[in-house]
Amino acid sequence: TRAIRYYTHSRGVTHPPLLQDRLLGQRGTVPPLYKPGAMFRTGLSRVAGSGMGGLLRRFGGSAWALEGEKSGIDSFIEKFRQSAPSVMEPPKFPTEFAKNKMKELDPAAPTPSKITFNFYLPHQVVHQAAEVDMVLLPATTGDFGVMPGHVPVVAQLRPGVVSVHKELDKEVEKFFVSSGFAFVHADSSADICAVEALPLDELDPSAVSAGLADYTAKLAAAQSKGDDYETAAAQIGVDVFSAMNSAVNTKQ
Amino acid sequence: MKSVGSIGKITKAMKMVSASKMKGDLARLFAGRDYGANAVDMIFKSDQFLQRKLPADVNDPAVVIVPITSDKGLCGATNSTIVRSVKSYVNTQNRSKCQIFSIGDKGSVGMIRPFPDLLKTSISQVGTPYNYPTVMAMAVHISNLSQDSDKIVVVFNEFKSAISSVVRHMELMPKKRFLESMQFSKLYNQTLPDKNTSNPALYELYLTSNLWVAFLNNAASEQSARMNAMENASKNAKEIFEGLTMQ
Repeated sequence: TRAIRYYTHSRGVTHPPLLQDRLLGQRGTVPPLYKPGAMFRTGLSRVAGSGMGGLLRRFGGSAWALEGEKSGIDSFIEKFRQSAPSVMEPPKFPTEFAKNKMKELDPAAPTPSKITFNFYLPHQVVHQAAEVDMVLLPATTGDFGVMPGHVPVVAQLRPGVVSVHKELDKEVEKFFVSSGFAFVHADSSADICAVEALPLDELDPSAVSAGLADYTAKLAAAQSKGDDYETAAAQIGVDVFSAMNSAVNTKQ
Repeated sequence: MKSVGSIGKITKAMKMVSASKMKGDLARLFAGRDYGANAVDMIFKSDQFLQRKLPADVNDPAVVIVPITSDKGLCGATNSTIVRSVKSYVNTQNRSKCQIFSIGDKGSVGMIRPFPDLLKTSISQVGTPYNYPTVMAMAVHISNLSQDSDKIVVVFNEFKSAISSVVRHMELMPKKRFLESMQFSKLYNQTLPDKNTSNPALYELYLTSNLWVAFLNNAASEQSARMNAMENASKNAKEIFEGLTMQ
């Protein structure tokens, strides 16, 4: 798992953070126990996917940070060995396999010409590291387009259409997403994580209008009954189906 | 001899079934493990201001441990290593501050005796192959249980290859800490009304996608371990059978 650790020297000076990413099969387990005088801050931990190498990134490279980490690891392993069965190996830590994966952002470098686009669903990888010109996203606060050099953004998506312009206005793929999140990073890469997405061609107009009518009726029924949960569920259904409806109709 | 022969046949069949299930689980693992958590991580990785301002870690944290095991047995050492790892981990922590949210029968049964006071919730019969909405529901339960804790530790088997897997402890932030940290995010542009409503949703994405990766890895590890265990069992049965056969 990726853990972000921040080390504070005993005198209260903050050292540059030590970033550890997780590596497949290599991820550290419990962070080291606290060594007196050093304060560890554990941030996000995450399991790394197989494609991701372990990331050990030190902003500024502080030797103190490394020392604090090492003795912390040693004291933890000591404690672990005391309580673990003798055949159980102590956990491995990210510092043991640093593989620098993330590119250093050079502020003087020109903005890349294309966006590195990733589109993930829990059950499928739609796009991975695809080089595209522009992506149009339906965020809850409004639609916006992402081109290389876009400011970093975290946007929650509403049910709507994501347009991927592989070549600006020439090769366009459209997907209907069921909402999710879109991330644009400082290195001109964009990630979309949606629970469900399908190419717009696969939406069946008759099924969509049938569903919309169905959920509108359900919404009216639930509102008259005054059931909050059912009203909310029906409202979600109406929202998604109306979005699908407009997507399908605009295409035609 | 008849019994040995039939056992050999059964284990051989189980091995074939596990091998084919493992192929399916591997496909799901490779398709699903990049979802979500990587992107959320980037927020923390790239924002130096956020990193400096992260709330300090607690010296004696209250932990919610989520071990992921299977319901069915005969899968080699996968479930028992998880249980042992949890036992060792609890010994390194302050026992009174731990809670265990167990997923899978084998884990719950294994931990009810050493930790009757810590085992708060247990989920069994999670239908395989795992699907994302189920994991979302579990994430909501874990989030509710960990409201007052300082970290969530998910213990699972990470799939390394068909013959090996490693126990991983994945540390996650509980909701309060995540939302507190996100208040300091400066690099990523989030318009104000969006920030307040979408950060809880972002937390759900973070927790669920990490759990999803853990589940996928665990499923693949379980099937590969079962395949190997049945392979060994068939080999042993064959040896015994030959030993019993008169020359």
